[in-house]
Amino acid sequence: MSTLIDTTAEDARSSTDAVLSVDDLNVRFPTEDGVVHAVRGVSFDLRPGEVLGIVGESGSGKSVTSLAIMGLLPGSAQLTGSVKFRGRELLGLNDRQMSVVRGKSVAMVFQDPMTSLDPVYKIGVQIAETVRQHDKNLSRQAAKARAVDLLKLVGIPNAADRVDSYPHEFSGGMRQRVVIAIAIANQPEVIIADEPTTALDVTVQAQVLEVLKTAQDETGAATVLITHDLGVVAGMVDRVLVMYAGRAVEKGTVEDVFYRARMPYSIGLLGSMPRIDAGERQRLTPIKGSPPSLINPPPGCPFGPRCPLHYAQCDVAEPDLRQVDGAGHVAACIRVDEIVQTDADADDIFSKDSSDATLAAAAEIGERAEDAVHIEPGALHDPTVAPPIGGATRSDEAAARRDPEERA
Amino acid sequence: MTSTETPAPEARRRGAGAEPVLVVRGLEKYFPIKGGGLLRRTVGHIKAVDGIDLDLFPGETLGLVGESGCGKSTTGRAILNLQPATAGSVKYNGRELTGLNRSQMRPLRREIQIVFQDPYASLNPRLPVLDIVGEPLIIHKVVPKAQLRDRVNELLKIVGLNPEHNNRYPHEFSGGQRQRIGIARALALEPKVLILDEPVSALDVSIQAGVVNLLEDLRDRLGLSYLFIAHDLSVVRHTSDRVAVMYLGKIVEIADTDDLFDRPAHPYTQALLSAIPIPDPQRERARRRILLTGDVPSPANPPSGCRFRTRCFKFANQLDDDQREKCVNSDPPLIDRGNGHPSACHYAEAMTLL
Amino acid sequence: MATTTAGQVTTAPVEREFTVKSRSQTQQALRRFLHNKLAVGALILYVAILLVAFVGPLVYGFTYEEQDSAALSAGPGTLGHPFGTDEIGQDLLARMMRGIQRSTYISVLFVLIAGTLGITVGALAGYFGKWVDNVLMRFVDVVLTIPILIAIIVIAANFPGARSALGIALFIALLGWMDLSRIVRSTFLSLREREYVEAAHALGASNRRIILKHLIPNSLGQIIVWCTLGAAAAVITEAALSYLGYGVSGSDTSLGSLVSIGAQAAETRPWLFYFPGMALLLIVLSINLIGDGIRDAFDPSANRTR
Repeated sequence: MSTLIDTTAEDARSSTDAVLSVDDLNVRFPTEDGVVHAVRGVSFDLRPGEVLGIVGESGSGKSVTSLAIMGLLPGSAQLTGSVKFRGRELLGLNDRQMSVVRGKSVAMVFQDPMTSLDPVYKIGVQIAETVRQHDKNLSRQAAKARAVDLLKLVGIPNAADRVDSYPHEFSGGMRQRVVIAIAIANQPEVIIADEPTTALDVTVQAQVLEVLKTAQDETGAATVLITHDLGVVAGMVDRVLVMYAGRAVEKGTVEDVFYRARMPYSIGLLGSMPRIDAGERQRLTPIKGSPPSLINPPPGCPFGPRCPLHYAQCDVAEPDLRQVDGAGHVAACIRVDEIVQTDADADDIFSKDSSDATLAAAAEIGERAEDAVHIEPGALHDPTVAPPIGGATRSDEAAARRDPEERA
Repeated sequence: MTSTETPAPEARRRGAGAEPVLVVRGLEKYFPIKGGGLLRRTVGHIKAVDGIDLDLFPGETLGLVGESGCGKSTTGRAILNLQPATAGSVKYNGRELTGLNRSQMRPLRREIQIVFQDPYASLNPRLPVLDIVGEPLIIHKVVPKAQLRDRVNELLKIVGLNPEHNNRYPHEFSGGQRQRIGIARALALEPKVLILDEPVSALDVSIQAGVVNLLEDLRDRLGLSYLFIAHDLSVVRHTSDRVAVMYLGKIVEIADTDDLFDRPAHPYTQALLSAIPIPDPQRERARRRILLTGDVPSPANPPSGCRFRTRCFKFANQLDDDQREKCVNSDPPLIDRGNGHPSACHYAEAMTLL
Repeated sequence: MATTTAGQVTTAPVEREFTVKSRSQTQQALRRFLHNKLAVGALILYVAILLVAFVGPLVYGFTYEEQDSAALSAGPGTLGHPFGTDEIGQDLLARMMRGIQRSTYISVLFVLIAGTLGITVGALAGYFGKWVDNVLMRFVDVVLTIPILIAIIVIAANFPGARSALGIALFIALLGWMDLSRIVRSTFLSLREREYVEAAHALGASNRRIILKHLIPNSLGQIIVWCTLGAAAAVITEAALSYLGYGVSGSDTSLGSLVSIGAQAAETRPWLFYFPGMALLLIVLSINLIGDGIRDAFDPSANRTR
């Protein structure tokens, strides 16, 4: 059993090398129904001080990714690939070795403030515990003083008194601040925040996000922010990684992804969001269907069945991340060039009708159903032809509906 | 049938001078807090809804927003008499609903229905879709048994589901589909008013959009009126004609949608709007933020006078002592204070935040 | 105009994606049960025993009343009696088959009667709450205080007919439904708050409809577990009553009677005790294992790797 040598040197912090490097991470879970391939080859680099947002909906694998990095997955999970913190491989470390890394080098903020704090210990004690765990020489008093400082930093009023309170005496937002205080107690180099504000009311969310920003400023830590909320991402992160079905489907700076999204899923996701600053009420563009099962996923692009731009070539193999637009901006779609050329947005690609996919499927089988999606008629019958972008615009829908007999 | 731009609110409120279908006055719902001891006497009340007035006009969507604990869900249930109101009046087309017993309420259930938040919990896992959507038809004997299946299939088509799946169980459907089933069930009796209690909150964003579009289409096609209860203001802005903002059991501001979002007058609304993230990096980072301090007070013991004063930035930073006295002593009524729409703040001042 | 290949490429994957294939609660429970080797083994054993007891007499040479004067108190395997005979020449195996039939009959009746009582009381208490709940639960408390021994003595003294299988089943059932009522009550208390119940209210469903169509079907897991464990308990209780002299009387017999009578002969004619005793043990054990298996199958948090 190797002894632990902490290789983090002070000057290592100033290096511009990636502080966290994930390469081809794969996570598989054996279940009653088969092996669920929850994360299927995720890679990213996190530079010091950088904030990376990982976005995705349910089933995208984003939370499993963060748990895998922290070594917090159940024993039955099978991990392959590499997760390196400052060059040091984290996958394969046992729990004792990982616990040295956790809290000191890599800290985590979880979603549920109700359960992330131990209800039977005062919060001052919980903060002090984490501080003393990584600095054995710290006296109890010094640890408590540090706890009070941290509480002040995260904006808990009357910190000196509240350090002796129990978690149940705090509201959700306050508890999350305490969780952040615990996370930054040991000046971590990486903070992983997994849906840190999802369970909170929006005004409280704003407060906690401010605290998170303060925490980053104080520690200079690089942050991975995992969330489904694109609004939160827009305000907090430098780079974005969009996940779908266990894989990264688009990566880039926050401006790249929000203003120049090139992968149809990202485009659809952005188009489906109602915006609070939208004056004129435009119809939203939903994405029909559901994410695919991750047990024995079929070959080809996992977004294919839901993608209006899908054609036969899409089912051959899963697309790699390809360079689009500027440096560092990649998207996983074989039709990215067309998308870049036409500068397509959600309106051009997705239809705005309100049917669920099952009705659309029924329409393709031949039943007449109202509000079914009609992509450019020819494409339905010849799968080797790629449906043109803009084929699902209003005029085509209207035309197709008016004259169904004219369909070839 | 599908339009890509929703008609203007005035056009939809056919006959803006029309009588409201739903008139709520002074609605209160208190939950008793029982003390310990043998007799378990009532030691206090949680004032979940503490006196609200609402009108719902035919064909419109009224959004009811607020954060957790503001009483919006309780309001919805009290209007439906699912939880009997403690005080106040709810009139549907002039007919008083509060105080009705179960059998008196039953025929009215055909007029006002509800769609629930949780698509996983609101459908009985042991019943196939045919039974779930058919149940209201059976209870109210709307169609003879022979036609039940056909009617259910029609409803499933209306909400965009494949009628061939009517023998499947809820667990065989995705969240968005289950929510559509819930909508089909609510529409079975052809109600005039639909209370939507956070209908899309539990769904992924890309799926939300489909259900939101569906709800809009249905409202236009079937001439429904919606009370759209939600905490997500982006969705509310998109779907509603008018919006009422609730805080701790009371309505603090009510206005036409664009009015509310472009010129909010109540400090709570202002803080709420500034807190909601916009998926637009440049705009989001350039925004002006109003941060509230402190926690939401307990509904068992709301602050005296204006209940928002304990967190109000105006109270904390912009008022002098005399003005603060007024906030402490007097609960501001919901009236138009020259901002174009009613707000419940003594010092309400419209601000543009978005 | 669509060629079949076109139809297959565009529609097949689309159809598969758009409805989620997951297992229902019942299917999951069944699957978990079948993976529980102990429970499945117990189920096979129990079914085998029942088959022998109910089908056996049709092919077996002796009946349970027949007295073979040529083989009094015969040991097992002698004189054509695989399990031996008792002092009046009745074949033990035949009597055991009869006894198992009767015991099974008693436990089925018990489940039916106590089940109906328990579900009714529990459902009403759990659904209506407040004073109904109070009254019913106090009633349950009262019945719980009745000591079974005194009760059986009193009943036996005043109702000689109570010594039949039916009478015993009724007796045990009337004193054995209380547990179930508590279980159903607490299940209803929690289910009552579920949204689909609220939805049923909003649709105008009557109380009866909600209880019968929504609440009871969703309580079946708990109820089934109780049924299996109750059946086992009934067999044991009947055996205990027999031992005390209040079991099935006359030439008819039950497993409990055989065990209790056999106990007295255990020293000199051990087969009269051990065979029925083993049978009783195996039956009760297997029912309990099946019940445990069902309970674990319905409980998703039970941590079994296989």
